[in-house]
Amino acid sequence: MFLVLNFVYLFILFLLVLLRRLENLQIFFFVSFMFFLPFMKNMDEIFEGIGGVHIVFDDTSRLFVLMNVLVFLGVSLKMRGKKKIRFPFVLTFITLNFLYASADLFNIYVLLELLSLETMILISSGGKVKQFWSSVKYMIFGSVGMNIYLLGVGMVYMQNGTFDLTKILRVSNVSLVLIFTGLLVRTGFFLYGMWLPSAHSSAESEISAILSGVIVKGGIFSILRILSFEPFSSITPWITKVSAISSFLAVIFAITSKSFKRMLANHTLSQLGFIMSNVETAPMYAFAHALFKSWLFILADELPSERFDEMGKRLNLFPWIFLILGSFSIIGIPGTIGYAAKSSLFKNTYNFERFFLILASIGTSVSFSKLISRRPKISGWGGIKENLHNLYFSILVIGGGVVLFEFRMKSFIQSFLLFIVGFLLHRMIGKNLKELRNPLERIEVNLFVISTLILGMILWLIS
Amino acid sequence: MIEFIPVLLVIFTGFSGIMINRNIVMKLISLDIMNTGMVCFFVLISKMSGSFPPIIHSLDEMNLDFVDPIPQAVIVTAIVIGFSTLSLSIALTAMVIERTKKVKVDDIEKKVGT
Repeated sequence: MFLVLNFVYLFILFLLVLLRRLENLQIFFFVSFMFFLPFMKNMDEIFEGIGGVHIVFDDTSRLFVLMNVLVFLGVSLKMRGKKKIRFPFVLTFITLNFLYASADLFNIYVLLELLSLETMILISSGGKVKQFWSSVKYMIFGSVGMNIYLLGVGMVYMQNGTFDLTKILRVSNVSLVLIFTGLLVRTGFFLYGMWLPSAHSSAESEISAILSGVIVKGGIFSILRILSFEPFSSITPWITKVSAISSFLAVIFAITSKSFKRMLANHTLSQLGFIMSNVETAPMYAFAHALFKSWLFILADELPSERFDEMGKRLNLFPWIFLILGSFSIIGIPGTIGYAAKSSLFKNTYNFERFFLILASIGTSVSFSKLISRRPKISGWGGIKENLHNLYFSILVIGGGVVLFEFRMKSFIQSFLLFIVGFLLHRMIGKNLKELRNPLERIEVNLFVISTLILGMILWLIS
Repeated sequence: MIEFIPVLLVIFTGFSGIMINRNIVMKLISLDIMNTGMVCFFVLISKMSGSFPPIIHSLDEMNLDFVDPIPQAVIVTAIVIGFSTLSLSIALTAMVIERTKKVKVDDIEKKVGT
């Protein structure tokens, strides 16, 4: 019921946007939100097509669609009056909504590729050479990743004769490796998709918010959906290990970044590792990450400069408060939504993953101490109309933190301890760090790494 | 299974072309080669169940070995997507080359300063 209504409604609104009858995007996303609310507690919906096209709308989908609506509403509050990107913006929203309901290998492929095309238009909408170049790089990696994925899907079809995830019974190791390598490249994990920092840091702030907030979650969702079926889940330990390591490695580059947006982009790489290092808590963490990361990216516009050395010791009061709140959320201080997500993640993770996640958490607080150690200066408030998006996101971040708050002494102490250790580390070594250039960001090196990893994984699984 | 080897070779050629070529236009062409290899791969998969086109003129033909239509129907989408990604990236690359006056990837990276 929801799906049918959703398609009809989205089509009508899409036509309105196309015909330029709907000037305010906020209204569009607000209506979507109101429309979506009654369906939060409905039964699961399943549609089955001929030849293996399959649509499922379950709890995970609900959480992701809610995240999608909330983030798009918040970002559209910020981008009043920007007419140029309205069309791809709305189209991305609709594509993502559809992706969160698909449960077969080919639908996921088509929607991810459609998403790549829209992302490319969104990144290059600023009209700078840098943006053109990073979107070309993005497209090369996206296409290579999806081609590798398609190779794996072809092999699965040869064995089973269907694309439907519920009907697939046997999956060979080679196709497993190919499918997940393709998805990891497309989503942008460390070692796999190193196009991510340059693409996310060079786009306009609102676009970066959408990219880091919800578009990477498209890849995350498809990985989660495929992993939730029996023949595919044998690769889960490998994915969680790769994610845990990548969450730590990416944080090193984030610590040494000299520009705010670049730092945030590197943190997206690291947070993707956090999300995927435990499959059960992944939807919750993805939800929290979407809220605070898109907010932090939007705040980049309100700083005096993007580079840390030109930013000055003192920031205006209100951007400062919002920045601190966002930083506390990503570090995981109690009372924010980040804490709720992180404590449930740590509760369910052990040994290998836990070790790297703790290192990565310390790294996160080291790199955000660059912002926290700045002091505010008294200044005007700028009016409620200008700060609407900030108020909206702060209510979501704190409100989510209060609603999902779960008091456990151990994680309470741990979160403060990790923050203090990180802050002290920043005081000791943070001042004179040189910016590390990531050698993996070159196309040739990254593709070489990807092919080596594929070969290594196949040889390891066969032996 | 022997007929899969040339297709996989084409795919590998495309991949290594993207990896080795320094010229951005050559990289995009290699990407297209890889895409074409993937299309051939799916055509081969659908040929495994038979070689007759899945169109029946009379009921006597019901027992022939038909080509599996689903992979082909599905790969048509992939062809369209491949075409659109290629055209969009070529348009953007043309703009990058026009503004930087460089075609080698390293030179562009240096000039653009990622």
